[in-house]
Amino acid sequence: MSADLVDDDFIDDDDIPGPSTRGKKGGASGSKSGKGKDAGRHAWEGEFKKSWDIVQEDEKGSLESAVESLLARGRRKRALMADTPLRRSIIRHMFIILDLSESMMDKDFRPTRFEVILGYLRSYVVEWFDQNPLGQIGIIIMRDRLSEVLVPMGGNPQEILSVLSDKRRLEPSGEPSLQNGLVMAKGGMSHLPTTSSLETLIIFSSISTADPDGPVTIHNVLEELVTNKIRTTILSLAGEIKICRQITERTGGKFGVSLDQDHFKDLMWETIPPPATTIQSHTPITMGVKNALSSANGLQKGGKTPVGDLMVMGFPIQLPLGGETLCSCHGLLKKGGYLCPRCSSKLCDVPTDCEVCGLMVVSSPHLARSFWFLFPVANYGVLPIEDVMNSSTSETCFGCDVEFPDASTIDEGVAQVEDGVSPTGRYRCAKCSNDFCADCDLYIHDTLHTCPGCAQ
Amino acid sequence: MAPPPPPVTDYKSYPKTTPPSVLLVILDIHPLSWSLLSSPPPAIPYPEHPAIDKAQATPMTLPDFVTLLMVFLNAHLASRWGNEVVIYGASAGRAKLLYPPPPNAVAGPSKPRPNTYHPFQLLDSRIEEGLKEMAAEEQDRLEHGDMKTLNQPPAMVSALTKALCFINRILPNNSNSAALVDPAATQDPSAPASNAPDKPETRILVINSTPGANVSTATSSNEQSNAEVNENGTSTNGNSQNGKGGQMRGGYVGLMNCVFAAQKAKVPIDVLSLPPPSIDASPPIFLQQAAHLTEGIYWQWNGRGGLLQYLHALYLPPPSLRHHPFAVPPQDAVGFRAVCFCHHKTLDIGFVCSVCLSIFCEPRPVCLMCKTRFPIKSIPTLKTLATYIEHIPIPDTVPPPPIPKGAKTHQQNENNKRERAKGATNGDASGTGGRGEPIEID
Repeated sequence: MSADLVDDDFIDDDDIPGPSTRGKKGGASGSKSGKGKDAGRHAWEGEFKKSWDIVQEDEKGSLESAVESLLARGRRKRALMADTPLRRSIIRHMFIILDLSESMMDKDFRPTRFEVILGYLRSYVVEWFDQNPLGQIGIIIMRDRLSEVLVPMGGNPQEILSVLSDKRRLEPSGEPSLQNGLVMAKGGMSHLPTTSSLETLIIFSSISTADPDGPVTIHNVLEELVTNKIRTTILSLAGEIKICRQITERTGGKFGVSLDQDHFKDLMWETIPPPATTIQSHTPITMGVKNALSSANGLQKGGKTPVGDLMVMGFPIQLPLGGETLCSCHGLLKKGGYLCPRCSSKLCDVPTDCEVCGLMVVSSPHLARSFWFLFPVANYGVLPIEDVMNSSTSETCFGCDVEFPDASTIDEGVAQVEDGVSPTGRYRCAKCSNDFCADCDLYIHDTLHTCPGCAQ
Repeated sequence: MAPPPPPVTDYKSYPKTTPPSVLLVILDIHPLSWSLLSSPPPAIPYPEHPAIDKAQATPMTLPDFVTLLMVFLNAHLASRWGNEVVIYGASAGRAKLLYPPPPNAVAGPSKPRPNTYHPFQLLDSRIEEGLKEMAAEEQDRLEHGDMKTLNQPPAMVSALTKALCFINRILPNNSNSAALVDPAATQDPSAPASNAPDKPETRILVINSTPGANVSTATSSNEQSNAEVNENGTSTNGNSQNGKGGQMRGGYVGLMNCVFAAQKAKVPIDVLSLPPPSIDASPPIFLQQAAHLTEGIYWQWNGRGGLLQYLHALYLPPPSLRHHPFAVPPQDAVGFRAVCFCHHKTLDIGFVCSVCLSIFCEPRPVCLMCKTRFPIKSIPTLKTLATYIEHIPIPDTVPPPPIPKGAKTHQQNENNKRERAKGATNGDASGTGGRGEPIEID
């Protein structure tokens, strides 16, 4: 039905039909789904794709070479990644509202919706923080008609990941209440300045919402969301629901219905890049983000590429937990805090705009989290066996000082460069021409982002 | 070192056993820094605390310090079976693994001493050998007129990346990909026995001897002059916001990348900074940031001896025992300053490209990194906004010893916000006085 099945990862390409015809309609209108391309062809009509066909044993019956070629695939992907244009955002605050009703145990995603969504959420959080270094995420869950803040708003992905890995705490049950979830999110963001981009991402699995009885209805909540400028994006696993679409349209978010797992992932990943309309070209951002965002909120969604500007930012001094002092943002006695570098007033938390002088105060490590993107590590090339034999090369990996396999013992017949996997176990940096082992190659490119040789 | 006996109920919460611990030491053996340390200026008087004030400034030479370090490392080896030590040397512009020795090296000293525990002797002799090798290489570079590289700041970042790669190798399945790669690569002499109940704890101890906020890797030559200015002039220019040369983009970004990788692997980076305040008024802020962000311990030596005690009291307990039953020293305030990409200055306030978040020290029409054009008409506004920025001294936050009453009169001001009870010892008066706000100086 869509191109997703054909070109994406080698895992989990089961022939799962779209949940319902309503779902497909919503999905097609809610996103850039490729339904138009392949109209009439359904998932169950396509060829059955076996994920295990990709892994093939070599002549010795070992899976090692297959695993290595999978790794090599990853290397190629990584090289492609480096070409994406630089685009970074400013301060974002997002609540992820997760529907943990009984419908999450549905098995139309394998093994269950719940497992799949949790897995996606974990990688989503990591990816989100990589692209939004100044952002913060909180998680709210809806079950048993109640909502509960699972993770308060924070900037530490590790914390969120550790909570998300605890499945027993997240057991789905009961019905969700959209209203309670939204009210909770609104309350959780009420202390934040409206100058930063406030967003909620709702992952909605049920097809109904059980809201509290009373004078306040979900329509009142929607009005408040609009006045508080909380952008709400709803991704539905089941089908299009009118109130959801209404909420997203009024608050400037997106509404999407997933066709299948991959499509759902695409929909989720679409929300990672910062909203394109945060920066308007003709308003220079001078002090803080206030001007930019307040003016951008009135802007209609256009295809205009965001134009950058210089922002004045201050890097604070963090006080240790010594004595209590008054903070300038709440006027309360608190331990610790940050000193604004321009006016020396104490702020409770960064990133924020200084209450006294209006300077945007950010912690420099927040910014530095994205620097690896600006200074990518040179790719390590494969070292063919001739080079190892001919030249005098180092005996150990330059990173972890592990000994390389002896070049003379490598079988000449097997030793051919294939799929970017080095037969000698050595990978050479193009810049500093030091040799690294496969472990270090992956670690340096995926995690460390600094070449030990080039750093000398 | 032992804490006062805790209430009986607390005993249950103590861990019964701790995993073996791998200590990775990065020793800064930059020749220039050690020559400074071996002939320190007289210590800054410290009238608040007569007992400390009486102690004289202690010259510290590299051999002396290595002796102390060996005692410390032996103590680490002795404190639990399975503990390991890895040592990297960071000299001008290069970093090298000193211990464990490369597998093809001759194993062990020529003749074992009967009165020494063998692992201690192995460690000590190998460190000595490694240091001598490195010193010989330095000598070699000096004789071959390779002066440029000799003046570079120590290659801390390179050593840190090597240490992290090492940790990545000895810790199985800390990343899914590493586990996939090659099961054979993880069998390693220094890795723990596979039947160990849990994976070893790792920590990195950086011993910094270079004054100034010097954590750079030197790949550009124009930094050298800066570094030297820094060594000579720190006592006077501690307050200028860009006075601390020596860092540069690659070093800062590299260090930060190391910090995030260490955070991910939950490896604390401990920092012991040797240059006492008499040599260097400004702490190595980026190493301090690294320690803070990875929940390591940062400590600056006061230049008055007692180093072995510091090492043992602060850095010997493994991370799992640090907060409980032991205690970490009170940590100073951390300046979260950054380095600009254009002139490699240390900034309190910078101009940040909203597209790629690169940091500049002055407004410019086009972003250097992502080539985004900025509206020119906003530049004057930006310039005016950036003026009147003065360096704020990092407040001293270790609770000050009791001061005579007379010295406290300044506290009637709004300085609840600032805990700088004795921060002015660094001579920050000249820069901060400009705005006419009440600045208190002891």
